[in-house]
Amino acid sequence: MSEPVSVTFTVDGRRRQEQIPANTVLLDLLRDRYGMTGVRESCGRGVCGACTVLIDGNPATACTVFAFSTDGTEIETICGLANNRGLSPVQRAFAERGGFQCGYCTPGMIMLVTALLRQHPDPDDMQIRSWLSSSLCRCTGYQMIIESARRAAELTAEDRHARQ
Amino acid sequence: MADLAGVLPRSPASAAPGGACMPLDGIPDFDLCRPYSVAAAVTAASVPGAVYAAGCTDLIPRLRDGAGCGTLVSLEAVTELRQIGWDGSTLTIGAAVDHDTGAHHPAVTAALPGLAMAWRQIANHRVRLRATIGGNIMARQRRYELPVLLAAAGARLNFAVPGGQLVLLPADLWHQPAPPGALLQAVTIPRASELWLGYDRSLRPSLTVAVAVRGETVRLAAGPGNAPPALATASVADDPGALTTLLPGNLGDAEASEEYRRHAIGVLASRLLDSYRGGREQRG
Repeated sequence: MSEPVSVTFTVDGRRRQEQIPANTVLLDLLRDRYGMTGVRESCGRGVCGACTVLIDGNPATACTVFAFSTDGTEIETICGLANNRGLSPVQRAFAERGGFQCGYCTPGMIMLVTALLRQHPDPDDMQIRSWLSSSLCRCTGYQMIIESARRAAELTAEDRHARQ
Repeated sequence: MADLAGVLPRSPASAAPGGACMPLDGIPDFDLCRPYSVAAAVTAASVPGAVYAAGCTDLIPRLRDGAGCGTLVSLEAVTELRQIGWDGSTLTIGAAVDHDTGAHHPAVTAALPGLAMAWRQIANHRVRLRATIGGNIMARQRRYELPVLLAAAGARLNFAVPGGQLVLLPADLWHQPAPPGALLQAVTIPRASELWLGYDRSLRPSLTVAVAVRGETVRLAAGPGNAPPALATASVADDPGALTTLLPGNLGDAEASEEYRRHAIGVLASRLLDSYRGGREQRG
């Protein structure tokens, strides 16, 4: 066994420090050590997007990120999106508009849309389609997911106004 | 960025210490090295079985597929690999520049707007944020697009090797492995200000075409998907259809016949040259 690597990062707002084998993939750390099974494991090759998390705000597939490389970063997962006020606006939008069928790709889609709306609070259809092309859904044909993203933009704006 | 030359998949018996079997999709144990400079990275990678890693979008799937890795040399702290420079003539792009940064960088846009425009189209948003120009080149994947663009643009690949430097053309990588420990440091495009670059990926994955015009010379690069990019050089006044006859190799496969691909290359090249003659909107 090679030398363990020390990693310190924040996952869903909680600071964590770990000693891990260098070959540990972020997805395995999140699921196997932290029990964050909402971060879905699927293709394992960075293609499908089911395991998408945000690393310092940018979407990344946790299956193609070595955990050591996340040292010092802030990681957000689907498991931390809801808070004591309830589901996030993006989660509410997906539930409201039926942006899922089997639900397996949904956590990745929701993280992707969360990142999209932070960069583009009022995205046009081209931007939504472009961003969503990072993830695969084999059930819905995408239309309901696109509608969910549009609705998520509205709900996010409403939440923002309500807080002001 | 991962140079996997010389670290081809190993047999299961040799993939794990003591002959123990790894999980099917497991990643072998490796020593991790995190250098801060190119020189230190090259030294670290001079041991047999060493692999460079930057974005890891290609590397991790390859490791899951059984590629060997005794030492993983992480390039994340080598900041010189993420620099972009433009001196008014030569455009220099560090090998660890990710697609999103490179495609939107003011120096790239100023030096060669056609490259910036084309670069923005490749991969999806998530991959663009993480994958690097160096990885795209060193992966040696036939459907990847930067080798096509860079071959047309006459780019040079600048490697740091033990004891010195090595310069290769993009096409060289398809025919010869990089020397052990060679680290792609930067991509340079000489005389970029004199270059017009156009790109058409509308028939991807079956075909991509890049056309570069410098003075009276046009350089055509076609990525047929089934083979490394094919290159041809001619006068800008030549008929694009005739230009395709200069492309070497067999461009046909089960996906598209030789005749179809050559015809399609001619059509796409002709459109790009019309753009050049008409608006020159992509000129640097």
